Amino acid sequence: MKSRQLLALTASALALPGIAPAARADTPPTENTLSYRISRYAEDDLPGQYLVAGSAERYDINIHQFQLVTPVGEEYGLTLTSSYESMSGASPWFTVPAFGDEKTVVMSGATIHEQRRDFNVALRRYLDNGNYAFNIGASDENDYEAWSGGFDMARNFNNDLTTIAGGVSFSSDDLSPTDASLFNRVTDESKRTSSAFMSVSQVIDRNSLFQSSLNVTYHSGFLTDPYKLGDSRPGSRTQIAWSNAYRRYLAGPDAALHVDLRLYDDDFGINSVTLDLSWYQNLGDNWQVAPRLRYYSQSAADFFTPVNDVSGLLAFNSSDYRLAAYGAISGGIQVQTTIDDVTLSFVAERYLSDKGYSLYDGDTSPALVDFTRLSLGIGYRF
Amino acid sequence: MGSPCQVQLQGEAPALLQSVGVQLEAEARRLEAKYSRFLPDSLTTRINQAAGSGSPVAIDEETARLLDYADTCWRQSDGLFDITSGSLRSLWDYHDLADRQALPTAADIEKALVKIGWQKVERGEDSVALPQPGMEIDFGGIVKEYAADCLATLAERAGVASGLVELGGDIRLVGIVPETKAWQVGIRDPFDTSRACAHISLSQGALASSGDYERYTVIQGRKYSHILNPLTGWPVSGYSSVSVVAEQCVIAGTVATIAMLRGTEGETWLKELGLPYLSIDQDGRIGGSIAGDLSGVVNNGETG
Amino acid sequence: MSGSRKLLLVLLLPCSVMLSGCQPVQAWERGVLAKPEMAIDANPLETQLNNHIYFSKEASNGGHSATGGGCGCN
Repeated sequence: MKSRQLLALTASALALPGIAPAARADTPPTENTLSYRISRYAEDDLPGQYLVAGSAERYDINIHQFQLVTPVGEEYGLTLTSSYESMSGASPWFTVPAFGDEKTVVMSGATIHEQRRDFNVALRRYLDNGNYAFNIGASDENDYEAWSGGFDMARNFNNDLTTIAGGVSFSSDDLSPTDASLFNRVTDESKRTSSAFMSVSQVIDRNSLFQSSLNVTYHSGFLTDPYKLGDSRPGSRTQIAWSNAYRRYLAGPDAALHVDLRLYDDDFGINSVTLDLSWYQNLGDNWQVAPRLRYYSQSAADFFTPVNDVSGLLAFNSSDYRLAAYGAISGGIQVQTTIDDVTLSFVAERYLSDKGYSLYDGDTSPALVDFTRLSLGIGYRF
Repeated sequence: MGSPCQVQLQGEAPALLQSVGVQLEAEARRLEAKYSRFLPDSLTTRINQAAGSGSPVAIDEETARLLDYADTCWRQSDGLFDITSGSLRSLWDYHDLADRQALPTAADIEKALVKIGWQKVERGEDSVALPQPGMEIDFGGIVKEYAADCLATLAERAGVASGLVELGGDIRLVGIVPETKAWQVGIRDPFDTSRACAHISLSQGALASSGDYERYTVIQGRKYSHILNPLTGWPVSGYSSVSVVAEQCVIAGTVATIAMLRGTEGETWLKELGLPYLSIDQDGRIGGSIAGDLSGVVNNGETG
Repeated sequence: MSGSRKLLLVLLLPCSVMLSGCQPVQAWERGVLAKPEMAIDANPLETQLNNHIYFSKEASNGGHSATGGGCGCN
């Protein structure tokens, strides 16, 4: 678009020291921020015609999130995050064939009540040309325990216009399924997860930036779902995700456009595409409304079968709907207002999944979920 | 910087704004001390005093990039924007010429042109030499705007929310404001400097102007503008003033200057570049891509 | 160049913005790119929750950081 002359002048002007556009903030927090959010996640009940046994009611989850961000000394920022979830409902057990091509789901019999707690501490040090952080975390459910830790670092180059970041994380998870003897479930299993990422972010101009990240995650150990009958999965899984983020500020409407595209591949045979669009619209000094649209589609795992294999001939087999081919569309809105040092936010999201939305051919599952999620949050700076 | 300057900063922390204000003042003084051709110890003065001596003057990275920028402007303007053209100024001393009702002679012009020409400057990566005695460079058309960019960038990096840096009429904003809260910048009426003839709404970036404030001088019944072409040594007739909006003040400023130097070709050049601009011609007519619904004619009191 | 003079823009007229310093306006630190809504992750708690939910409902995993594990939900 720019004329050749203007490009020549711009290139020459940007070579002048001290006038390149200012990059993103890379400074430690200067004040404390305490945040709390409560969210309600409710899955739609499974349509009656698919259900042969069990409860039609699916998960309802209440999630409480707490976060404290606080400066430590001149160079450090400490972030404490904790969440508490209480869930009730039933989840699909296995799928059995019905008449003709229809597939039917068997839900786990009883409504379950479970809690999950997790806690994470991250300490980040801010340097002149970058930052690095360590974090450790733990989570705990009545049948599941996990420890995790990670390190990441970022370095700015090119007058802070380019940032290269990378990091690793590890997690060690232990499963001890409930009612193991009753249902012939495993009693004590574990899995390990290692993950690494590299990312490059580039300031394009004063109003826009781009980030591209590559993430590789390797799981090993017991990857089967202990609560799904007849479920048997490989002992390792490698996932690769390529994520791209574009952010652009538009002065006219005083709004920021977010475009996120992720391409994913793993050795279970699953590919997926995720496209996420958000529009952060400022209204006056104190209000912000952000509508959001997300599209997701995945292919089926190689060993996915719509109904559980009972022949015992297949090495690996699962009818878990999460390994089926499907697509999902979700839409939401976030409203946020700031009054002095207090920020209030509200988020609503509706998520619909369907084989019809899928980009991929392949077997799907009748147990796909639709859900609604509402969140209320408050943040206080001091 | 030899002309009125002001900085306005907005933010929530008064202590931060004050400390940034001190930094900006120091930066402005640094650039003035380094590049002003009126100060006896400045680098510009040292380069000019070494003209014709045969010994190059050492320059730092910043100066090298400024000379590169001057070179780009010279190329993009087909030689019209020339930081060595200062000696024409004394040749066309209008007070003297108007008093005497005389034009410079062809021989005078020939003599002046010998000392002009960017292509004659001997550039090394870390040195510069002016080959002719009396030859001069003048960063005046670049450094004031560059300084506005530097100050605004410094303020942004220090965490200032928004603000404005104005150095001698050239403006660079700090940060960005929504268009509903844009800064309203008055364009000074070239024919009546006490009033604004138009307002431009600016929410980010820079606005710089170049103008022939004294318009023209009548000598022997003919009008001569004060914009001098370094290739011919003669005045150029074109706009009365041009204001340009760009991301960087240094670009806005040099584009406005080049548009003035191009005379009647100025409009073509501005349209090719595609930057928003506002022009006022010799009859006071307002034009340009951001003239929009601005009133059409500036009162042009017919006085020479 | 030599005759051109640059002294046109000296009038500054305040619009809706207060021109004096120290006025409490929105904190847009370091220009537009540091506006909170311009961050790659504009709302970390929201992102964390979203990732948690999508991780438990979808097969894919991985974003702009190192991730994975830590939840019996998948």
